[in-house]
Amino acid sequence: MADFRLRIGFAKTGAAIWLSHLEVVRAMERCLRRSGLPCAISQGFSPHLKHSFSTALPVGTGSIGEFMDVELSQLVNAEQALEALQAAQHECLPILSAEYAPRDEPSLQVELNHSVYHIELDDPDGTVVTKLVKRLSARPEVTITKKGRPRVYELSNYIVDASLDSSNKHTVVLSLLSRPEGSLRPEVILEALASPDIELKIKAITRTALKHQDL
Amino acid sequence: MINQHSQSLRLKLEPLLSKVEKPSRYIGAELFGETKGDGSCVLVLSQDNTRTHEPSPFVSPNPVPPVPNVPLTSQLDVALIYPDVYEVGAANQALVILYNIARQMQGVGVERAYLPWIDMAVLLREEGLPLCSLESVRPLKDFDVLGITLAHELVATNLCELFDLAGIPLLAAERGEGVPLILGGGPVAYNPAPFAAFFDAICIGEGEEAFAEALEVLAQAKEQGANRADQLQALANITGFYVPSLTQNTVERRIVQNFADYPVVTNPLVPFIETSQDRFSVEILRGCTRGCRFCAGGMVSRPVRERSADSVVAAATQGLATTGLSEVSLNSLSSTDHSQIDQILRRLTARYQETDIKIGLPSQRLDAFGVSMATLVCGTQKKGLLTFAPEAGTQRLRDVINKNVTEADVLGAVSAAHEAGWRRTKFYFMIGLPTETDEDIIAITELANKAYNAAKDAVEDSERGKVRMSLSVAVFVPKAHTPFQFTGQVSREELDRRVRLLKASRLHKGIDLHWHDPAAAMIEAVFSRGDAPLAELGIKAWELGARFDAWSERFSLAIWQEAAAALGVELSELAERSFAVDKALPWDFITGGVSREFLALEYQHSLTGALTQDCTLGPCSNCGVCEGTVKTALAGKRG
Repeated sequence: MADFRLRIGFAKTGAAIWLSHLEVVRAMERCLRRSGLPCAISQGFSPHLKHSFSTALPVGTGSIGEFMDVELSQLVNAEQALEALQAAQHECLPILSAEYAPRDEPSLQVELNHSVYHIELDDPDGTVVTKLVKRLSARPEVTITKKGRPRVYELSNYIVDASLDSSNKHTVVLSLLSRPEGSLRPEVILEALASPDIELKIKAITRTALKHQDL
Repeated sequence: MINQHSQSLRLKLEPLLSKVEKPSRYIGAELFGETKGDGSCVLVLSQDNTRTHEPSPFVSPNPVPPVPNVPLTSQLDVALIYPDVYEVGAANQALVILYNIARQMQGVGVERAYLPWIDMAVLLREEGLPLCSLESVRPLKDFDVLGITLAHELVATNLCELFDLAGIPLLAAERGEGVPLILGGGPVAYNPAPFAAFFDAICIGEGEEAFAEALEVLAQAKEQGANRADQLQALANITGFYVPSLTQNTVERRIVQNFADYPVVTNPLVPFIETSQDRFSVEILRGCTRGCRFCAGGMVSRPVRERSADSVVAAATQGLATTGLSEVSLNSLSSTDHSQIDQILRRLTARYQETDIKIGLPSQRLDAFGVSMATLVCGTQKKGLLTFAPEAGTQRLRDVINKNVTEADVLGAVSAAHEAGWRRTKFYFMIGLPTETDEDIIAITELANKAYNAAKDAVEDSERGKVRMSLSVAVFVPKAHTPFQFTGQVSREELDRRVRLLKASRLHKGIDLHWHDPAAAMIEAVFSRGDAPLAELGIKAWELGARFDAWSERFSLAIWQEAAAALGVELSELAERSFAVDKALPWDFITGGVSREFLALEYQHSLTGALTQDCTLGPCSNCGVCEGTVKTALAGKRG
């Protein structure tokens, strides 16, 4: 394969937090086409751009650390690629970085299995945040219903770390692993742990980092 | 003040987004959405974007762009509105053009709004929030002008819902100083009477120049502090504008003076959400003189005017590069009739052959040329669905409607398409056409069966299982300004019977049959040739809960029947009434298109099955259009 794998970092901010994953993918494809970068095109009946994205974010969740890999048919200087992408970006989906990634690396979804979320609550005195961090840190077993089916989850398998945001007492910082067998959304964990005695009012959820962790 | 108000509305609307089905309908913030430096990222969450973040594995994040401020304005504030949900309205090309005109005008600020879906409408009412513009989240009732497009007949209840959510009186007669001027326009406006009571002024015909002139006089009027009556008078002086409270004489429909050189919008807003027309559009020609006697578009959009191949190719390449969309659509009523279509398609396919860009040709001609053009567009890519519109099953009825297509054309096109690699075809027919008999209905099935066999015969044995055919049967709705304007719709009961007859006919099992609901078509017919009292009917239906009548799953005949009964109106009578050709019609005061004499003559011809040739291929048909200042203008030689 002659193609080159460009890894693009971007954010999902402002109005764009309300986009579905598919809408983000389509918006980023348009950004790529506008950038004029030499994107590789799949062969066959319905030619399309060759790309892959880090794990999907739910509608309503923002991020400042998303990644996509795109195959280029020619090697373009990474700094020039970044400039071209930034000139073509939508300001709610700003491009943060562009670097070449080794072609033999695993896919972004496998590679970036560790998400850090900042969850801002409507919690004026910070008491809810303190209680939640305590419960998160205990990593208990919880029953979570997905698609109508209740299932018991061992939170220690998913929660890497939970803490108070040192600069914002209304915010929980939650680090979660996504596993081959599945992952849990941060608000789902918080809702399960808040029940029944804590009234949970989430103002904003932002994925602030995506990293790799060996499982 | 407005700014603070908008900010507080923003904060109240924001929490609703997590409660609705598709939040991206309500966020705006499309690429190129910022106009004159205002309103791009609209609903920005209260998250703190400035805090320091954990380092990412690949890069340290740049600061996120600041939230733009919407400046105070002392300009003419205009909101363009499509009275349906975002993904339907954002695809409307008329609004794309008018928005582009307004955003370039000095002293004009333009924003947009769409009708929220039912879930959001419930929330807005619960929270007591007014319907706002997308860009700066301003209540619609605070604008100077609202421009609303009327794209189809089933729009009345959505107009009521729109005004009610915006807190604007439903009827123009009830609106005083300080309420926005409500302007309308669009294909349905050619018979403005049914909707006149909702509007302060209605633009008849092509809106580009008339709309710009209207904004100019209204901006001046605002500067001078003119009252509502003076503003309406100023609008009534513009050719093409019908002001129901003032106009006493005829209204001449407006037409663009030089369509070929009128610039294509190459930087339209690019929606995030998947819309019903998710592609970059180039209108390659306007008008159609094929002369189908049921077709309002083909009558009111004359004369034919083509953009040159050079300007089409230039607009397509520029628009694709600017928007990043993956498809360009070459739009018109009959794109394969463009005198340079072959050249246009060859140039575009050559240019985009190594890319993921697709070229769309929405209307196909029912002959070998149509198929070869469609095949050219596809190149080596997957051949999707090919659509054909014979409209009627027998040659007799095709002659009645002046659809100059024979059975041999249909079967030849099907064979050619399947030999060229197509496997999926769709056929459009109509039932309820004037003079239709049971024989014509059964002939639809027979023609479809023959086409199906021709398709199977044209492919190798191993491919036969892949042949797919579908039949879409619409109900004929007589339209104003067509030769069939004089004739009533067939009764709903009779149409139901004809649908049953069609379903009971021996259509090949491999063909999928879809048909339109005669009940919705009856309401369309009530409005398409209706007159003034219909606004009350629309209001009553809306009060009884009718919304989004154009969505078949939302349409309720029972509601319309209840509304009609409450007002003592007989729906079937309105839909089925015929007019003598020498009798006055509610839309006679709209002039400037094809002449009434031509329409009457064409109606007579339809009854004898006499054909009228396309004047771009044969002699002038004396429709009268070219007696105006704008004449037929082709880019090359047709045929």
